[in-house]
Amino acid sequence: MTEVTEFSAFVRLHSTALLRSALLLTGDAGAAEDLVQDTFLRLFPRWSRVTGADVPLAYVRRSMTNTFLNGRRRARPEVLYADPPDRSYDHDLAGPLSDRELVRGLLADLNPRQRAVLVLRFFDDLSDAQIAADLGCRRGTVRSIISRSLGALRAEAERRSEPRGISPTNGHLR
Amino acid sequence: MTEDRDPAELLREAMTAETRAITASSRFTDRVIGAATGAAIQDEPEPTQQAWRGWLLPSVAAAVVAVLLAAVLVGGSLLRSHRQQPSSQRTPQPAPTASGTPTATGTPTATGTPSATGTPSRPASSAPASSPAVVPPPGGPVPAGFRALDLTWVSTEEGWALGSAPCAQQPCTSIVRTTDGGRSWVGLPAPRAGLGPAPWQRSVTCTGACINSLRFASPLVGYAFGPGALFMTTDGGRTWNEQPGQADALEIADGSVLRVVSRAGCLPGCSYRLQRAAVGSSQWQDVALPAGGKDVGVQLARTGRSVAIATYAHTAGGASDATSMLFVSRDGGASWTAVGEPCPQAGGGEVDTRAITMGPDGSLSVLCTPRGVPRPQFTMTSTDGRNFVAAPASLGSASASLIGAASASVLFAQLDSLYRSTDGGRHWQRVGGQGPQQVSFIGFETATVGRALGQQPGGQPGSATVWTTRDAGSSWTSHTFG
Repeated sequence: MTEVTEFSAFVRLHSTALLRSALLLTGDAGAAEDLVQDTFLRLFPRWSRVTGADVPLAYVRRSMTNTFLNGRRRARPEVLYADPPDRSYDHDLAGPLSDRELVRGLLADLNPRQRAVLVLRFFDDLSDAQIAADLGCRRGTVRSIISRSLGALRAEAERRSEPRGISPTNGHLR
Repeated sequence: MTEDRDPAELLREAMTAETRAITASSRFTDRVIGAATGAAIQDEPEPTQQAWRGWLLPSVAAAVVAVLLAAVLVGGSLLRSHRQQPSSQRTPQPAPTASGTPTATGTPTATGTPSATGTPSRPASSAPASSPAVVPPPGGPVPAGFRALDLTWVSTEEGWALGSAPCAQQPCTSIVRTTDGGRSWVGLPAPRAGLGPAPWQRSVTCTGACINSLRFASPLVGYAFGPGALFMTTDGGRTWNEQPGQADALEIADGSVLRVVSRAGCLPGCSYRLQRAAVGSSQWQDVALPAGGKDVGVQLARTGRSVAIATYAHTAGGASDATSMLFVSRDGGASWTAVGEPCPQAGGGEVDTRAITMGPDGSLSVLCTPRGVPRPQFTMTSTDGRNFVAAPASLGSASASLIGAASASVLFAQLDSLYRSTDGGRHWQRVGGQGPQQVSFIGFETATVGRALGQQPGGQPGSATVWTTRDAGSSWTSHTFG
């Protein structure tokens, strides 16, 4: 199989998974596509390193995370397309929307490194050690970020579960 | 979120739900491939481009001078020819005209443009983008009398069926493909291998290079396999290459391929090995399971990065301790947890895991069948692969052969007929005459879109009809091969 063939097959096979991780990292569908595309653009010239990795997808994911964190998005000419986007990133109204809003809000409030830690842990199922290695930080830092984030999530959930009503002190919904 | 809910689990579920609707379209992947391979050429050192910059200006200046000189010379010569010379000597010299015309072939304009073809200093072999893009074969007509044995899908629209059709010279194994969700099909080349016993015929051994199952990881990379052989294609089924070993079961999980291999013909119990390879690779590596399986059958089920393996016990009797074993992985098969026999052994007799299935939502459902005596069967479902919830034993005692799941709630089971539950196995309703019957395959690509194959009357492997549902099994449409 030629390098282009391998690369093409890999892109077709893994783009969905990478797009999903990228969406959680960036919080924006368009930015997620840009991130995935930029990652592949950076990796293709040295594709043999990807195929030589123990788990090629993990290699690409790590590269994508670092691309996201470092902000080393290569300047490239804007490409305009006549066609509208293939899809809308619609939300499943039947799903637990409140939980998703809760998590969306939590991720939005975090800095990129903290967000990456949560995505790698709870979406990509990496261990503390793997996350620390990927991000170049200590395991204690990873554990601390996770602990604080889960605490914040629990607190926010508890706050939301309190009965809503008119506050006697300020007259606003609380 | 309730106050006592585990925030980690909430994060997992919310992230999964948030991204579930996203898929990479072929337009996106084509754009990425085109941009990356094109960018690779532009990123290469461009000696020609540098040279072009070096000699463009002098060339243009020389060209201008040459044009002026040529005009003077030609003008003078025309004047003279009109007066003195024969016509054969009146033709202008090509060299000054060609080199002096900016748009002529071989001029600075042509060779100096990076995207121009024929740039002499760039060898063709160093330009990956010049390699023809691999595309699946267009396909031909579906062989007359085609009967499908197995189905595989990479999206709700693109799928393949492995089967056979009457032919003059064995093997008659055939593969067909659809790109419109099963509405129309085309025939593709198939491996030169016989069609082995159907996957559900566990007690039949397979000899020789026979296959009975098909899985595609992408539109280009696929595997045709069975207890006797394993073939791989990396060009969408245009060509098939036999791989070392075979596969009793094989599934694609998160960029990796998992296969279960055993020594053929090792009844009454086989020792299984689990192996893993990157998609498209022939390098298989053993994966350790927490405990070995040695039973009469094996099944792999997966969705996304979640994979389950069941090694089946002697459901027709035999050693009392020959229980089924269930192994679960949540990282694409890299590491495994032994769940043991998930079916409860209460009620005055042993209960065996008879079949497993994974829904697109990641739920794992198990069909539990009491051994020996006819007692109602039941299902157990887990959303985390470890903790199972048993449904009441309300499935009937007719021998069940398989189950399917659109989700943790919507389950299917094939007994004397196909049954459907919409409450996680608590209640079952027979699928009516307008739906698939005697199902030998059922699977779901999404929580609503799924397929089924009906077994032929008389137990002959293969089906002439592919059934499609787009509402989680409430209604079905069919495509029957001629």
